[in-house]
Order: sequence, then structure tokens, then C-alpha cells
Amino acid sequence: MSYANWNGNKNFRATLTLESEGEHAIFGADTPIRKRTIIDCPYNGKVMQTGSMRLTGQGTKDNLALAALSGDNDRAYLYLFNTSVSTSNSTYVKVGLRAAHDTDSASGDWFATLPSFGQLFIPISDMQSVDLEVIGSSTPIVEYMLLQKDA
Amino acid sequence: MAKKITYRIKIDTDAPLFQPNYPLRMSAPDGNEGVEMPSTSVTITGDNDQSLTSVKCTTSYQDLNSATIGGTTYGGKACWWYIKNAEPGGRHIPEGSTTTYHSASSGGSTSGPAAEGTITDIIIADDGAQVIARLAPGEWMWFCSGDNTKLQAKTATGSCKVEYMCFHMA
Repeated sequence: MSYANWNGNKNFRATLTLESEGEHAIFGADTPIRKRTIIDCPYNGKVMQTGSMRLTGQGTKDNLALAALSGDNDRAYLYLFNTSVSTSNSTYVKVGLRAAHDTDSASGDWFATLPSFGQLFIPISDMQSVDLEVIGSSTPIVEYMLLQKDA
Repeated sequence: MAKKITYRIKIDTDAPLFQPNYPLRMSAPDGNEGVEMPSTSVTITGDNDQSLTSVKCTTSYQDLNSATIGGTTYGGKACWWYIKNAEPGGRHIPEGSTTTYHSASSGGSTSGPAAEGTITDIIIADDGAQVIARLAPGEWMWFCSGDNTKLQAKTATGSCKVEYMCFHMA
């Protein structure tokens, strides 16, 4: 394995497949949803994190980025996967933005929710970091990728 | 009958072009070009759903969901979203301009393709006009919004189309 271009421009490919068909189809069995879309994602910023993190617990916001996202509009690719397999709709992970890396996000300032075994992929913007807070008594492990787009 | 949608996110590389820059590759064996995340099925519990919709955006915010997002699931006001900047992805050459390729036989100059509309980013914001995403041409996002009655979209400049679907939770 070579890392000859580890400091150069990097890309990965992200594919989303959506299906809703059969008796459970959202718009009925005669109107199935089958959608597949692919993008190439360039990233070369200073923040390139992949890994997993066990969340502290309800009441504590865990900061995802080790350094502040920066560059043009603080853009980054964010992938999150809540590995919990709880079946409760009242157990989930709040996803909030941090306008400044070292400043806790304002109370209630969250924009996405991550249910058990839920995933998201967003080319985020205008935030220096991401806060994660679990709601419920569990402390799930969240797998993640945070890849800044610009240096 | 419960309404369900199944989604799968796959992250990998086009090995001949991009290797070895796959971000998770350090922990993967040689020859492993990516990871296919597990497929997840979501039960949609809300009454308001929008199938694939395409709208032309300008530099002013416009609402994407036609019905206000409410409900109490996942902390309240939860809604699954697929949103994509409908402009073609990849490198673009505006019509009329040229670029030089390393080809002695062709003379090294050509132009196009030209995209319909403006080649621009789509900016996605929450109900308080707080920006949360910026979609370059061809980029998509899939997530469950929370604590917001709506999402809004606008372009960084000019106009272009955004396509989306949304599925409310009760």
C-alpha cells in the first residue's frame, strides 16, 4: 500500500440507494420509489477524521471535530451512523452545529436527528464542528466520517 | 399498512482513478476499495410526503416542504430528506469557453458540456435560515431533520434546480 498522494487532493465516491416498493410502498404498490445517485467527493482540508465514538450520555454534547472546520464556507462531508439497535422512537441522537469550534452549541440548536441504526450523509456548511447528544438512557457508539473540503 | 423506505449509503473509491485516497483505507486490507454501509429500513409515520420534486431556486430562500413539519417522533418535527443539486456533477466547462487536453491528435482544445441553468451551489437552511448544508453540482444529502418546521433552499448565485423528496414523521 502506498500513501504517495496522502497530502494531495483526495476523493471518495458516495452512492445513495432509496427503495420503497411492494405492500409497504409510501405512495402505494403501483408507485414504487427506486432512486440511485452517485457523487464524487473531493476533500483536502486539514480535518480528515474517520472513526467511532461512544457518546457520553443525555445532557452532554460530544464535539466531533478535533479542529475547527475552515476554508470556503467551512464545508465538509459528514457521514454518521448510530450503531444502536434500540427499537424505541424516543431514543435517538441529536445532531447540532457549532458555529465556533470551542464554543458549545446553543441550547436546542440542533438540526438533525439520528435514530437507532440510522445514517446520514450531508455536505455540511457554515459550521466549525458538529455536536452529538444522545437522548435516552443509552450511550450508543456513533461511527463517523468528517472530511473537510478545502484547506 | 406501514409505509417504509429502505436506504443504503455506500462509500468507496473508483480505484483506477483515486486510489489510494479512500479515507477508511488505512484499516482495510489491500484490494478493499470501500465499505458498503448496512441497508436501513425506515417506517414513515407522518401524513405528509412529497415524492420526487424539482424546483428552480434563486438567490432567495424558498420553502421545500409544502406542509409544516410537526410530530413528536425523535424529539419532534422530524422529517426524512433526500435533496440533490440537480446540476451535473464533476468538472464543468461553461459553454463557449475552452480547455486544453493533452492530446496532440485533437489539437488539444474543446468546449462543453454546458449545464442547464447556472453552475452553482445550493444552500440548505433550517427554519431559522441557519445554513446547514451547501450542495455543489451533483451533490446529494440524506438525513432526518429535527426540531425544524421546514427546510429552505437557495442558490449561491444565479438560478438552478434542486430535486428532493421528504417524508414526515408523526
